[in-house]
Amino acid sequence: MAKGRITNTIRRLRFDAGEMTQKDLAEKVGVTRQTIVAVEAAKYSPSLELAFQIAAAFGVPLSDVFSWEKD
Amino acid sequence: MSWLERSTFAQALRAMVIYAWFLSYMRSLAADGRLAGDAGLGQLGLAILILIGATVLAGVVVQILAVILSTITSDEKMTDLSDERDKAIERRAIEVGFGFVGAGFLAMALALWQGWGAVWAINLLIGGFVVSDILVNLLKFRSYWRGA
Repeated sequence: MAKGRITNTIRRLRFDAGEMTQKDLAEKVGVTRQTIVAVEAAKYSPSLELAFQIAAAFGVPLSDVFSWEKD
Repeated sequence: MSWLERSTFAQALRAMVIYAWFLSYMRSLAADGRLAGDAGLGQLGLAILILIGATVLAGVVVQILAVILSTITSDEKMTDLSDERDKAIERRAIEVGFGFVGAGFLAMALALWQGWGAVWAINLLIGGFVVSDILVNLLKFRSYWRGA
């Protein structure tokens, strides 16, 4: 499998959503705040289901939240 | 620090304390000559049963204390304690831990082959399980600490 990394725009999307807190987002998608912190910092790659849930929480397509960059 | 970080760290300490007690107990049995012969295997069996009982009991107590302390000191909801990242962290740690259980089996087989007594060979197996238990909790704690 080609090596790469998943980047995200969660910080900007939270800002655009009226400074939604990480805790609020965590509650919306049903995970712990620590998981949102890890996903936002690109230290943890979420499951496809969680990725879709995060996108749905912001009302945007998945590709607006996550993208994959080849190393 | 989330409640899971605290409880993981506490579980690692729990494993170390209980195994330290077990080792000192085994040493006292050995010093008294009570680990010799077939009677020694019986003593070891009893010590292992106590070790398992103490591990389970202390594990439950530590978990309950972690929940109570977190309820008092933070506003974390106790209903959503674990999610997919927690499971991924646990899975990664357990994969490493299994390696040490396997090493314990290997060490036991080698010890028996080299003519060690059954009591000490079994102790190597127990050591593998204990190192695995401690390592799994420390690796989980490290993952939480680094936010990975």
